[in-house]
Amino acid sequence: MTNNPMAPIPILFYLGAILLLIKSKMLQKIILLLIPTLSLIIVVSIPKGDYHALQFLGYNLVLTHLDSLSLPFAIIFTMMAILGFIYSIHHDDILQHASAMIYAGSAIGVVLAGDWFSLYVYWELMAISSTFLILARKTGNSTKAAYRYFMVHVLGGLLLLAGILMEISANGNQPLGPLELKGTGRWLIFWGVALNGAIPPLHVWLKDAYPESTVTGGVFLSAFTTKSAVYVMARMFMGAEVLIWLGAIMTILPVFYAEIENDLRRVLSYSIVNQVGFMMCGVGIGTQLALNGAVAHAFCHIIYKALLFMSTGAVLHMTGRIRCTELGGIYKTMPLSALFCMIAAASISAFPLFSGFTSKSMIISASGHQGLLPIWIMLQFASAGVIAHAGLKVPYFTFFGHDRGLRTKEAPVNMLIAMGICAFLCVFLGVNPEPLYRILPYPVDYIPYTGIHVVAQFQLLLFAILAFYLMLKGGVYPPELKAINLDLDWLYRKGLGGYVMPLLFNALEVINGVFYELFVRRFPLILSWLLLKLPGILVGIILSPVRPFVSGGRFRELWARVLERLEKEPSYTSMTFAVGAIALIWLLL
Amino acid sequence: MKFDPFSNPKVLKVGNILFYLLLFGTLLADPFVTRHEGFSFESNYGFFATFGFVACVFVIYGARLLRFFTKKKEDYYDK
Repeated sequence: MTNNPMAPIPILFYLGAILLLIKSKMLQKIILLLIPTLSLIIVVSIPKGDYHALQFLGYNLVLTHLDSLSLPFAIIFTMMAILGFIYSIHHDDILQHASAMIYAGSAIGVVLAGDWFSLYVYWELMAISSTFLILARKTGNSTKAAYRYFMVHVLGGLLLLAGILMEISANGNQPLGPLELKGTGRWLIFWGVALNGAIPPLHVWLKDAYPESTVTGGVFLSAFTTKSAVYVMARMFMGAEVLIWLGAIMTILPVFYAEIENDLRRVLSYSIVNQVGFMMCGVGIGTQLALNGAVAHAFCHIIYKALLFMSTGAVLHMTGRIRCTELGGIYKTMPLSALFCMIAAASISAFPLFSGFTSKSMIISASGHQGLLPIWIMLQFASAGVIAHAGLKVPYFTFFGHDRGLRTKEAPVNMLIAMGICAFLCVFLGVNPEPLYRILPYPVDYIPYTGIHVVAQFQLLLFAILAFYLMLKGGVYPPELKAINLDLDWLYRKGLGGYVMPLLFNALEVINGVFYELFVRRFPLILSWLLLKLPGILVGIILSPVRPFVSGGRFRELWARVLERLEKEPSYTSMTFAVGAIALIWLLL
Repeated sequence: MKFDPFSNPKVLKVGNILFYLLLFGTLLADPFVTRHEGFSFESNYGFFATFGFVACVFVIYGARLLRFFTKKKEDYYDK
């Protein structure tokens, strides 16, 4: 156990969020950049090990557990926090800055947590703080979406909590580590994490909520929640076969939706599900190459997906528009944003010399090495699907496509700087992946730039582009439409609301009615009647041995007189009650 | 002068030619790269080119089909 004089990184972020209350705008902006930068320095400079271990209610907490798996995630999360704050530093919405601060800090907390309790606390703080990034958009839709987002994550949190409690009661408070996916508790943990990781069928919250977030909020959201779930999956359920299949399905399902979606940030949200699918699949395969691939892909993905959200967000910021049907031709006045968007698109499509290529190919190669033919085919198919939506559709319909005559200025300088750094990293990691490979969990024995890799990838992507191009020209490509597409969120937005909810409500109403009748209206009556009559009844019981010796009429007269006395004199009632109660207790004992 | 290179037919023409040259280049290079791993069918000539093309066509037709079933007006959830 090593002790580190520095505070745990999430605590630094929370302190930063509180410090944002100071008046000076200048100081606020300094804090926004200083805290994540400081954290990055701490993460890369401290040696691996456990820090900040303490006892809480007889429970061992390890607030910072830095090992070869948490290190790459901690580095990219802190880097992303820096880039996100550079991108959003132009606005003065303190609530948004503070929630982003807490959100980023909690996400880092999740990857650094060394015990179940702190993992769960950070997990919930992440859900709560991120909700404000959606609420802060302050539109009717965003408020409703934020509410749904929060409710879904409360459900996920409860699954996780129930699983953790069952796990601890069954196996004690073990340090977080690989678990065999067996037993109710662990399956509950699995699905609780799967919800945050947007694994189908629990993926729709993502495409429902992220497009409704603020411009800068979307950048933060795209990075943390799903990738922290990838990390937890890698820590707990590495090699779980179910993840291979769920991951592969995850890569394919959203591809079709993304192709017909009108809202560009929703296209990108579907694309997150697709990309996280590659990572989950890698975690499921569980070999050293696959896990390295999953972590490397998470690292690269965070950067290029943030860049995609940044460039489309810049367009939304400048024009107030985000739908394919309302955009196009804007490259003429926002050439830099267009260039950055295309670099991100090339990276997500995994073109050689861009970052996606050096990471995604590891996962696909790993599936081939294991001889998982159906998985290999699904992943290659999804790769061709990525170029169709994220690689071509997003930049094409945003910046080129039909010119709608929009002539806005280029995005603010701070946004351009953030995008520029991301774009640089995309190319840098594509050309020279060595620095990334060095921080992966296992030693890397993989060369991305072999002749066959490069030629195969170019063929796959360029001929997919050719198909896209021909179908676009030939009018086969589904045109941009002012429409939405039903997905599984229909179940809780319309299905439950339209049919199931009233049904449930009626059922509850009936139960409620019965209880009301019984306990609110009848029970007090019964109770008061009982209170009134019980002493008399008791007296009757006590007097019953005398009954045979007294004539009927006389007994009734006596009885009535006793009752009269009792009802007039409440003290008798209470006394008989007290006697009765004592007798009852004595009997029971 | 305004920044508007993609409205220039010359630029588009050069871009098109470059694109087709690249396509052709990948097919030319195909027999010359060594294959030391992977499934046996991967070494068929132009396998990845065919796969990419067919997959993209499939995605686009699949998306059209999906739209047929899932398309709703934008205010669907507000009603």
